[in-house]
Amino acid sequence: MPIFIQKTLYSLSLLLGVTFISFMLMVYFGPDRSYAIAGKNPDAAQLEEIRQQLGYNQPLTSRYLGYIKDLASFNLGLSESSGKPVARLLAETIPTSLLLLLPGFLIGNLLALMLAMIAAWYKHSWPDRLLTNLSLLGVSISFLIIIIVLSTWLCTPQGLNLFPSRGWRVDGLSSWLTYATVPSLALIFVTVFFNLRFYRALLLDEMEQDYIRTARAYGAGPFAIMFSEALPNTLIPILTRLLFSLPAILVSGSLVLESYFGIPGIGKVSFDAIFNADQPVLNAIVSLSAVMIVVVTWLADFIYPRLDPRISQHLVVR
Amino acid sequence: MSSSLNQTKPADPIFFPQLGVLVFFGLIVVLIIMAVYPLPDWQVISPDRFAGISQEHPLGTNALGQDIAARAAQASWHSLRIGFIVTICAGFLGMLLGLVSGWYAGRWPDATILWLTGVMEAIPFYLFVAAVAYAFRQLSWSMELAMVVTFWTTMTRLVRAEVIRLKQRDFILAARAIGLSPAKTLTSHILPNALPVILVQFSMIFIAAIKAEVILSFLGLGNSSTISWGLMISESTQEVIAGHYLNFFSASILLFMLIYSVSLITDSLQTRTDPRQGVA
Amino acid sequence: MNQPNNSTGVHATGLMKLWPSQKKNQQDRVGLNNLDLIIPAGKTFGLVGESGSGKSTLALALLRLIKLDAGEVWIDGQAIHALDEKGLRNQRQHMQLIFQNPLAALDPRHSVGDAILEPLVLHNVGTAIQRRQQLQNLFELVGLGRTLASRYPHQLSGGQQQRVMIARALASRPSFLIADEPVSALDAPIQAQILNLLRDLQTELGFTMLFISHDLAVIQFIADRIGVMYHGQLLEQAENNELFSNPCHPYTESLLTAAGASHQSAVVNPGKQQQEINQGPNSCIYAHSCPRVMQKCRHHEPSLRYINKSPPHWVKCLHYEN
Ligand code: SF4
Repeated sequence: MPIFIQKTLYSLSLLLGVTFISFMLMVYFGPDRSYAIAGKNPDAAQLEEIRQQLGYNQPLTSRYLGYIKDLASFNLGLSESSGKPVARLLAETIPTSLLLLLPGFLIGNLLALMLAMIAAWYKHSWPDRLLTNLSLLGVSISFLIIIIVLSTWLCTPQGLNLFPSRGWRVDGLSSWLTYATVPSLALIFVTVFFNLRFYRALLLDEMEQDYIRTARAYGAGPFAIMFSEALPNTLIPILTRLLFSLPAILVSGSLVLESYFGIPGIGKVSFDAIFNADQPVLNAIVSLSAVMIVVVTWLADFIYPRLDPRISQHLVVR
Repeated sequence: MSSSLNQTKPADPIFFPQLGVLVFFGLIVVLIIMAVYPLPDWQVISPDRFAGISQEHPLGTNALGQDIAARAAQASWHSLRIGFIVTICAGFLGMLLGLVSGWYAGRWPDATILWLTGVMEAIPFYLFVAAVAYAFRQLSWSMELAMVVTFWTTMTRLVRAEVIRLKQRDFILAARAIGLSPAKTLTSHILPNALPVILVQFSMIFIAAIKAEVILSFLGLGNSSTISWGLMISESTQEVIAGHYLNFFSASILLFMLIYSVSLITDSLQTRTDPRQGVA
Repeated sequence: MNQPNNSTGVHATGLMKLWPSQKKNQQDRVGLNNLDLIIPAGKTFGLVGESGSGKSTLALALLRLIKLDAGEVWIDGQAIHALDEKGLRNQRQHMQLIFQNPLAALDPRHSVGDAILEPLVLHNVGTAIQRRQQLQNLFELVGLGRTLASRYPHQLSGGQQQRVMIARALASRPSFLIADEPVSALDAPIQAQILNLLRDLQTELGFTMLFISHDLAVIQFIADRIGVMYHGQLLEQAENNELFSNPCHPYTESLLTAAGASHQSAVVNPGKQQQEINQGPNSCIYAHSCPRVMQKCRHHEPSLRYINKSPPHWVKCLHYEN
């Protein structure tokens, strides 16, 4: 139990650091809201009063403490551009993003795993080398280019014109397919090539193990070995990796996909918030994703501490 | 079994490891040609919109009649500059912190650095860049600053792990036994031995910086006073719908060439120094 | 012990070292347990014992490469334990170490020439030209071809690597050299070469040497005086001949019989000893497997004492205490 407490405390200290940095960047050095609130041509006394109300005159520490208190009590404030409560904004848009991203993310990873199995089985012979070369090629193509090529090809009169090029009016499977197919294809492409070599290395390591060599020597076939021996033993690192890439996909992936395809998800919301300097929204997104990442790390630390030195080392509290 | 001892080294999984160097030099040659070719200024707007390939405009013009080749050349230098600045600053910062952290593993400098690493990694990158860009909006290099501040963490973790691994080797004890100070031990024994890992990570940072710059400028978060691949691609999204591909292809092919060649070079570097391959 | 201030040789008194246990609720491991040691200047002290008996801990402790819990070390009148970091680093040119595995102890990215010159460069011995001359001499001294200087450690044979290690250790002309199992990683013919080399070098250069081995034959070949180590303590110390002709401590006896029984190599057999020592705090540490154990051994700790002044012979056993 002490280790559990230690790690939890450590995770909390990480959160403290993250919130401090986001406070400094977005509140302390962030936009001065007094002018916006005061309207045109305010006089000095008015401004001063507003600044007083916003707490701008208080010392740094008490402002920071107030900031944390608001976050912890989920008091996220109102969006400045739309006037909606931030919490509601998030509640509306996060499901959209999940609907948009999760299927492609999962399919992409499954596909990567399948291809990695093929590569690992045919280690060092042509299927393996082909896949390795392809994946190097694949990761070198920018996500943007994939999106643009796919959407030009599938969504414009220049190409096949099968899908709408923008928008999101989803109320069922067929409408989901209409709007989500092209973004998902782009996501699948990136996910496959991003993960293929990692999974291959993982499976290869496992195939070096004695028990698999023995199984092979006794003539067990590729399916038997892969699905009943190698896969179960690599499941934990695979799951950990999935968990770890989820926050990044949700925040960064959605930012690009949703702003390009005009989909009203969390990425679009953050995109708009960035350009309107909508501080309460940005704050909420940064803090929530940081919490998510810290929680994932904290979880992974218990599931599987030894996946990769980059992951395992960073939560060892001494 | 003696046969397993004499196993031949498996073939390099990459078909043509030399291809990376080749593509890289190809890119440099293209850039040099662009630099010496008498191109119009990249900013000049002309009525000659969407011109095709011609002697005057080797890659045609865009929607504003600007010369694409000139813009591509300018954008390439811009990307390379950002790539190098970020790589050098973030790489060295990460290396330094990794060395300190690894050397003092388990003590407070290490704990502090690890904590900082954890904090930086928990902040979503693009939002962080946006916030930095806003907070330091007077600075023209706020994007570079944001990348430097976030891209050092993996380097630190890797170097730290490497230092911890190397510290237990006998030759470090032997260095101490002849009276070498910790600082000299780090620079003359640990650093050279950690170099393969460090070099690979330097090129990883380079790739990440180039990719991030493209996406940030595409999103409109970049430096708008100059042209970049991301901006070109962003412009071209409207053009490709109308069937004008030159702008898009110029930027994306250059971008691809750079990333692919650096990835190939990194990959062969990694294969060659991987301890499991039995070299080094 | 006597006042070591202006005496030569190596004097260590009351060395204590506990290795903290890795896991919780596990006892700390004893490295050195109140150990005293004298090595007369210019002599070779052979230290023999099973693996885990604390031999390497002693080597590292004498050179202050680990932190002692207690104890004093004097080398040629210099109080090693009292030096500050800088003074210690400076002192290191006078005390050197040879490792069991030379390949691990040489930086793979430095040429062997650089490795040998490193201590000279570090301690600013001579000019660059003098050092090049010195390198030549050192190569000759340890019987290596001059052309090897630009090679890297992995390009040399095990014997050559160990010669490089010796040249490096002797480069700064130390007055005290520790050789920690210097031949046990080598093939038998090479072992003999290296042993002869070390013995000749000592005759020629006159340094004091602590030679550590688990192999009694090797120790018998090279040592002037021998100490038998067990669980962080020296149980018996005597001149070479004296120890082999007149072993007194029950542990030494059992070592010699074990070695005699297996004709080939007299390797100290890692016995059942270790860990499960469950007698009281004031007992002989060997009591749990001593063939001559007495009732009082379980609640009296023997101390190391002379049983013979010339040739000097010390034993730590209650049978010799009255
Ligand atoms: S003191 Fe007793 S137990 Fe210890 S060695 Fe002598 S006889 Fe054996």
